[in-house]
Amino acid sequence: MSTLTEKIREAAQKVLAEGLAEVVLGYTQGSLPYRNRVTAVNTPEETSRLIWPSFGVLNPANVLHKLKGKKVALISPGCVSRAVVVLCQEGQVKRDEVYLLGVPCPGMLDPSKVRDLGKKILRVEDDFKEKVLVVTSEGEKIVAREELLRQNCLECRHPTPPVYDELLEGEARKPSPSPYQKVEEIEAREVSARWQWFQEAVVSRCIRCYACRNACPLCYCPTCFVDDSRPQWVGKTRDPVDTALYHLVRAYHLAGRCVDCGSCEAACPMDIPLRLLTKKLEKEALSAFSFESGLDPEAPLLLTTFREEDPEDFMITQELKALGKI
Amino acid sequence: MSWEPKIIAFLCNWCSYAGADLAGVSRLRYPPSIRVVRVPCSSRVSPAMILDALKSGADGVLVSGCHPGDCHYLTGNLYARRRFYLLKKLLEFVGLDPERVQFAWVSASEGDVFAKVVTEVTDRIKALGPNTKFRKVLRVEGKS
Ligand code: SF4
Ligand code: SF4
Ligand code: SF4
Ligand code: FES
Repeated sequence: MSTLTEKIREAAQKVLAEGLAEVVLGYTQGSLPYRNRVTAVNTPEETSRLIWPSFGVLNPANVLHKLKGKKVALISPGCVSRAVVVLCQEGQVKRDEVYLLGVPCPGMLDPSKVRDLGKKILRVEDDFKEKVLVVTSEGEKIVAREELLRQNCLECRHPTPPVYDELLEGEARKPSPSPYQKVEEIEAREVSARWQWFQEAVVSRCIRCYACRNACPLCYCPTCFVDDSRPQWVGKTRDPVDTALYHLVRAYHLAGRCVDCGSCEAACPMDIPLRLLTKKLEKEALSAFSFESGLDPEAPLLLTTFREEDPEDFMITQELKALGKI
Repeated sequence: MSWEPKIIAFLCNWCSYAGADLAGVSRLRYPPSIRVVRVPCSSRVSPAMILDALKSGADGVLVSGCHPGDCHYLTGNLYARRRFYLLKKLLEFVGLDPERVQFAWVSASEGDVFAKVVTEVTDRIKALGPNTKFRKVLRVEGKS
């Protein structure tokens, strides 16, 4: 049985040779054993550089806009396919300008979890099923894959791409049975403890480098609201209120759009658990509006549609009515 | 003198602003806590505007529009309802006192409802006290 890497190379070669796309966006090995790169491959010969990555933590859909005008094939696990679907829904990409080479995704590893296993990491061998062999300067370790997976892969609801042009053979992870456990842990706290968490885990540590925004395939506004100067929504210093405002509006702008690919968290130099904010909105969209992002390029977006029976008991007038006060 | 909160009220031009007007001409009593910003439709109000009001020193924000079915632009308020729902959930999640941000439907004929809503919102915000969490005060880096 051939490996995912072999299947990807073969499929990429075919795609280029048959002219189904001019460029294949996929992953190659990076400079460290726990780094992989997003790479564009233009010729059938170059496809031998492609791999199925253990650490493909940045979403290749993020560079699609740089390849405008070319037909691009993307190596697409669930979250990449879904990001492209959202870009299609938003008119950023035309469905027939991309070729989705779907991969039933076994999940990816968290570089920081692997990095911590030894002083120097020399080699990582991933069977993409159960075990990872990590060779460090101190010796070898065999670790269960589940322990090294990224948080968003542990919480992933769609490891198999919902939309694709071709689906490679393979076995995907099972959709997570408890995608919102971490969110629920925060929800269960008191208001003041939640504020404390937000301040300590997110706001006070953020250096506002905006790497999270830049890494996100769905943050493509030519002028981000943080760069507006009239009105200036966000001040230029590291004032905690400005930083909090940035995080709230960033997450909010991704409501019903975020596909939980984890690029933002992977890019953050401060290891801030940013996804909790977008995950919370994902959870609300699912429970209140039965909505999930990136499943159907023809469907409307969460906030460009409504239902008559959308919840409104959160509104003060409805509350007062229920109490018989108005 | 007792502390009176400052509440920024974004009122849609076609219903709630007229409702506030009616409360005024009917000489209904309500606390002098609101500062009105007239907006074309409740869907004109973005989360950044609400957060900016708090950041700039407001103790609370009230957004009020037409009842479902009455929006001058037919369905602006129904889009807005979804957005506000999500915003409220997000603010709750990060522990910003959820009562500080309120949403209402008030029609042009509901002067009495408008007065009651403002009274209720003011009472709730009074109970919370001034907004200290999300108010920007100028600081020098390194000093608090
Ligand atoms: S989030 Fe899902 S689809 Fe994306 S890499 Fe992780 S398991 Fe695969
Ligand atoms: S990447 Fe991290 S530190 Fe940089 S702005 Fe985003 S959250 Fe803040
Ligand atoms: S917000 Fe983060 S997890 Fe969501 S789509 Fe953007 S990069 Fe991916
Ligand atoms: S015009 Fe009043 S809510 Fe749209």
